[in-house]
Amino acid sequence: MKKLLCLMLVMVMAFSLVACGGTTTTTTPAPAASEAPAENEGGEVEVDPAEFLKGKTIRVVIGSTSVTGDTYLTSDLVTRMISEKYECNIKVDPIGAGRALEEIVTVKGEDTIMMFHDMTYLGVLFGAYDEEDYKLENMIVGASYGFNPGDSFSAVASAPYDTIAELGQWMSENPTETVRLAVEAGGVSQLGFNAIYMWISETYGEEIAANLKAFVTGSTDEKLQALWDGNCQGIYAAASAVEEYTLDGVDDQLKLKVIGLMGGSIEGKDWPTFEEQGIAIGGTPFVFTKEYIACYGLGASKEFVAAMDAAFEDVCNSTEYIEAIEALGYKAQCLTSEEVNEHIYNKRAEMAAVIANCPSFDDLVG
Amino acid sequence: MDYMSLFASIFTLQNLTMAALGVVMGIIFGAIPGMTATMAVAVFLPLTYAYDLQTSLILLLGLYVGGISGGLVPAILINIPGTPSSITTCFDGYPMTLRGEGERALKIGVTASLLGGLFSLACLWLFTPPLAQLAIKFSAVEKFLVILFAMTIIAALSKGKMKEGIWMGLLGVLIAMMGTFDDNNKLRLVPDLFRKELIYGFSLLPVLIGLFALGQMLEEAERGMPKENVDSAMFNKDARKFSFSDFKGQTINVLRSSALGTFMGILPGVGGSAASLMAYSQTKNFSKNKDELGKGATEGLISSESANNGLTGGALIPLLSMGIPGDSTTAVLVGAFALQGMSIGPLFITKYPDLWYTILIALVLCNLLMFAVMFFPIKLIAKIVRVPKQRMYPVIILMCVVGAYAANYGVMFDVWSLVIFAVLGYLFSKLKLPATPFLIGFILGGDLEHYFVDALKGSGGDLTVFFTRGPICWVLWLMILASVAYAVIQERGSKKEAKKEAE
Repeated sequence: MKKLLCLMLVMVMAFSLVACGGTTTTTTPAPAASEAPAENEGGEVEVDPAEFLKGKTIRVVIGSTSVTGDTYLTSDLVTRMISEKYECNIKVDPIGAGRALEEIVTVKGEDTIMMFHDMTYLGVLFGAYDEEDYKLENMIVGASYGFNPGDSFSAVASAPYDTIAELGQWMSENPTETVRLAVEAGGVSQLGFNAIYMWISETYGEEIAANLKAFVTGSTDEKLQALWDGNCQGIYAAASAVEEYTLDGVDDQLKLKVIGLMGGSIEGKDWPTFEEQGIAIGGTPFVFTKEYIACYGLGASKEFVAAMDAAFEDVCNSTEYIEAIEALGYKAQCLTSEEVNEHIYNKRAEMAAVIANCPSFDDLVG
Repeated sequence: MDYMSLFASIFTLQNLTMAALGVVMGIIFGAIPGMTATMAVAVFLPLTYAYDLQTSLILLLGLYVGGISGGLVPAILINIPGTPSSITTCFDGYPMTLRGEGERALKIGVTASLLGGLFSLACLWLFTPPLAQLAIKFSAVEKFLVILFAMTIIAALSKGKMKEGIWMGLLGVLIAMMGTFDDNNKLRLVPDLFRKELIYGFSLLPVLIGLFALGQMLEEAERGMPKENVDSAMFNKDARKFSFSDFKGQTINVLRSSALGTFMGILPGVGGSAASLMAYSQTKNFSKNKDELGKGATEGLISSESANNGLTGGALIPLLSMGIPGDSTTAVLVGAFALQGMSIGPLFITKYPDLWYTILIALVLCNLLMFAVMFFPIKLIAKIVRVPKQRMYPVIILMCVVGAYAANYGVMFDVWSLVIFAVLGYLFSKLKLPATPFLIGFILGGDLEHYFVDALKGSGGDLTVFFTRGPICWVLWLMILASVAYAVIQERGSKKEAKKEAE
């Protein structure tokens, strides 16, 4: 008996060692500097993704700790499809924004990449992460594989306003009332809050805008509970996450309505967009769509970036992927590393201007 | 609805295999220090992509029930809680093992787990709408008070050393606050040197297994392991054997603890560990043999295990009736629905009655499977205490390191945290400072602060909100005050006794 138990313990130990071994990554070394990658006439690197990625193990760190949020679901979907198609092993680790940014700015090779969204630069713009350490320039921005059309604000169904514009109007008619919107600090929701604040300030004056407060909290579940508790009057959430609460038959106490989509309209839904409502800053309509992007360490080779671009392009254009990501409530998009770079740097500059004109978030929390 | 075809679709070979696989893997995850039911469900979640929702749910519920139950094995046999909610199982389970009743303790624990699981399942089946209505009445204020009430166990556990216990609890709360403060995304209480490593503070699992497992091993290593140090009582062949009559007189205890576990599960955001802590402290308060608790009393063990399995059905109540997960594991379960392109919300039960009944039947099946898988081979499992520690400890250390590394999907600093808290655990013991209150403070500290701040934000900074929100609030204050007053009286009594003995 004792021998059997000892044998079992040895097996457990061996299993654990194997498990540890599984988390290490096998790397295909980047070619030496002298081995110039093949480039075509346009200066683009030519690489066969099937050959380049076959057998590779890549760890994907994402800027979220949740395995049910949009960042995980979209990155897991696209990497699973790339893994299957190119016979490589890509594993998503939800380690959180701070740790993911740290990994990607310090990683030496190509065995770890990051998949995240606009918070990659918004977190820095909002001062949550140190600019010198974590700016976009400290990483290679890769392809984009999707976007979330449903970044939105919702209120309880019984609220005396149906849109953000009506909320502003209502606040101007009730100058003693405080309205709290539940958001997360340092991300897309804070940006949406800032936009609403700026628009109310420009339209109805600073005194009215001062009655709009940010109720900072975490996940959508926590925001919903804060709303039902009466601790806040509106919440930021993905429309797909709150849609179930907008349906007929939902208990009055839980029922919600979407009062503003930050991006474009959603087919088949009559939810009002910010743009349709005239939510603008300095006369420019505020439109924002959260896009999912891949980022690589500065040490990643041109071939790797090109191979990943090709792999993303291949998978993201497939009907299977498009249907699967839409079933999750998001949309497919396929932008190469070059296209994303230009786009995301411009987007960062635009959002930096919005954020710079806003009061400090510490003054908006209350 | 056609129940026959529903039953036929559930009881297929594939589904039964998945349920068994889920339960067994869940038990293994639960039994490995540092790995939890939540991790088990998260690890298996991507695999469910290949199956339909019914099969996926059966597998994941098996992992959930198995994962919650598996934690009792190391807690009872080697005094290491397999999961955070098994801490209170150590209190009486391990002393039983020390007197040769390891097998009996395991059987009592498994049976209590089954009873707790079935109780919460009955609540889920019969009372979901009214319990969801009750849950929604618990705002940040009430949740803060519930957690404060759970923390009063520190006073109950620190008999004779109340001052030290309270200070250690507060130290635990303080350490829990290290890291990024969510409201402004700024780091606090973190030395600049460690700002990258401690961005999210110390993680619970490395702290738990560092303090409990490695700290204890360091102490034992210091004492050495010569034969005379081996407690022969552990191998006492005449030790009391398990009998279902062990549950005689425990009906109220089982019902109270299962109900508290279920209730804590119903409250979204209130950690699962608080369930067994609260149930254990209430068992201690109501027990006729208070002094026996912590020394191997079956009622303590029954209380802990029925409460942490009571959590399972409870945590599904807000999920299935409001779309809000009751605990961290059910939060991951939401992913199974998302992977199938389905949102879970307040109309789930009316929109998908088939899935609702699948969940209920799968829970009954998984609880029974858990009992069968754990109860019958227990004799073999219990023999693990016979393995010499010098052979067993290296394996446990390795598992702890793997568990700590995996806790946040591969963060090396978590392994260092494990070592740091192992040394702290050793030092606490040398300085005769109680480690359990520290751990309870650490576990509950984050939620305590979170709900305190949320309540204040909601009231515009008005502190009176903690006293003016209504009857639930007042009842909770009464319970907190009664619990503290009772502990203080007990403390005075024990000091007087000690004085008399000294004279």
